[in-house]
Amino acid sequence: MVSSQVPLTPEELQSELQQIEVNSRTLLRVTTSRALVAQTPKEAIWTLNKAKLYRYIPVVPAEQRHKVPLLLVFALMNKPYILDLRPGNSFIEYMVKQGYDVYLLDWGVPGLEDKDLNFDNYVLDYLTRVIRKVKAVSGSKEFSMLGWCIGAILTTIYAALRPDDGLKNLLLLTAPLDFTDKKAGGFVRWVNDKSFDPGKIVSAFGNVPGEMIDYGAKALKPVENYIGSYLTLWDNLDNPRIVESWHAMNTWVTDLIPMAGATYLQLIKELYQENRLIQGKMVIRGERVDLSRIHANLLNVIALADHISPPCQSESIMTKVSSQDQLLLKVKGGHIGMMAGSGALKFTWPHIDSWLAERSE
Amino acid sequence: MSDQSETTNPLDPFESMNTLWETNLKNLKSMRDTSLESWSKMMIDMVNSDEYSQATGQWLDTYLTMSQPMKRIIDMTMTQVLTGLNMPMRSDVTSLAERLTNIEMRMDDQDAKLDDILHTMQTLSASNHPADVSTVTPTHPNNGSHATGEIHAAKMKGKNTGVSSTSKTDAVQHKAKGEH
Repeated sequence: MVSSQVPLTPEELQSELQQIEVNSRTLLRVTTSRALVAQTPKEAIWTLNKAKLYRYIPVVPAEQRHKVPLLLVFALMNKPYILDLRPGNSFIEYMVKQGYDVYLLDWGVPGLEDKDLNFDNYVLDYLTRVIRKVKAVSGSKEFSMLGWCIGAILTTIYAALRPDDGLKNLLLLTAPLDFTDKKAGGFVRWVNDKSFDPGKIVSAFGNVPGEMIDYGAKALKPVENYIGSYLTLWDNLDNPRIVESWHAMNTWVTDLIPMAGATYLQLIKELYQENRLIQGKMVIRGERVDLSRIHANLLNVIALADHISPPCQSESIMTKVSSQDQLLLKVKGGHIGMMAGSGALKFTWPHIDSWLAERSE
Repeated sequence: MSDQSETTNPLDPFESMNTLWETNLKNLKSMRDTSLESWSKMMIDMVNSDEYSQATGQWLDTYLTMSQPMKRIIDMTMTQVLTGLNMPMRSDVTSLAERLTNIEMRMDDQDAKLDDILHTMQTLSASNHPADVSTVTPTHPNNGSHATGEIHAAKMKGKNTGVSSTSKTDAVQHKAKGEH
């Protein structure tokens, strides 16, 4: 941002002032406006309550496409367009170009009327219907499913409850599944303190406000999130590539949505505090979630620098499932950066593609 | 450093000033980054400590406990006012929304069943009259609806298509496995 030369002549001074003006405008624009995101062409093919299922318009001829469709399931507390952030930096765009028939489940923004929605509803009422629709539209009896963060919890539960429903490939990204280590990461520590009562939060707010969840995520790395991010922008204001990338990411980070109260309660109590899922004690609408029933091909991607879902929370599922074909992929980067950062296009996405392509015929 | 002194003209004071400015700027930036890094490490250690968890938990608990009575009063007042005005309350609206979602789910199931029926009909027609597939359903609506009923009945005997029904079947099978 600041010139490394002292302006000496009036012309140089004028040029310097012009640069400062341009940079100030850029700063104002990217911190106060929303970037154009989710640009990959798509159509909504199914809706239920606030949830929508999108199918991305294929760009590869039908005969060259992979036969098994790919369903993407993102977390509940953020918008799913992180998977389609902006042209050139979009996992969805990349996968569509690689010849996949891509579907994205957008859970929508829960209203107060949805405060009683829990994992039971999301898995058995929503996800089962979404999968039925994907199979009907694609004409394929088999499908692949990718779950990221809490989306990975939902897809894992589904895979365990309906192992013979045609799920061929299960891809988990930064999946928080095992909470045995009560000292691993800030979240686990905070919610396991005896003074922390999730029931009180839910009874006070109904749905857990997006701002509260956002504060929790940012407070794990406060200096990076509240100061470092803005300093990076300041230092690179004359670099359009970094500025536009920052703008898109900031748009996503500040696009907050609340979490249904009952889901939050279940997440904190049954998973973070009681660790029921990995122990095989979780019950969804009367059915026990037995991870050993999962036999789909499994790709488990973990981020080595993940401070939200530390690697130890994601690794142990490999020994719990019955999948013969399984791979644990460790990548550099953080919880989001792994899939949306600059290294994603060079490393994470090609690895996912090469693993999935072999298993999608 | 030695390269720099070789290219610097000692008789040009402005060039020396530029070099000085540049060096100072680099030093300042490096100092800033170093201090931020150490600050960051310190803060991460702090938020990962038991003391922080305890303090945050207690603060949140106090806030929620303190705000509850006020919230209860507001809720009660609103309920009384809305009842007095003969207007629906929040609970009425939310229960209506829940009912709408249930209707949506049933419609979705019906839609899926219709798709299944249509697909079965097309498959059957194709196997009976391979050359006449495209004319089956749309051109003979009466025959089509009659056939739909028959095929639907046959299909329901042979295969369970609904999501909720499938869930029940799976649940029973799972229970049976557990018992044996």
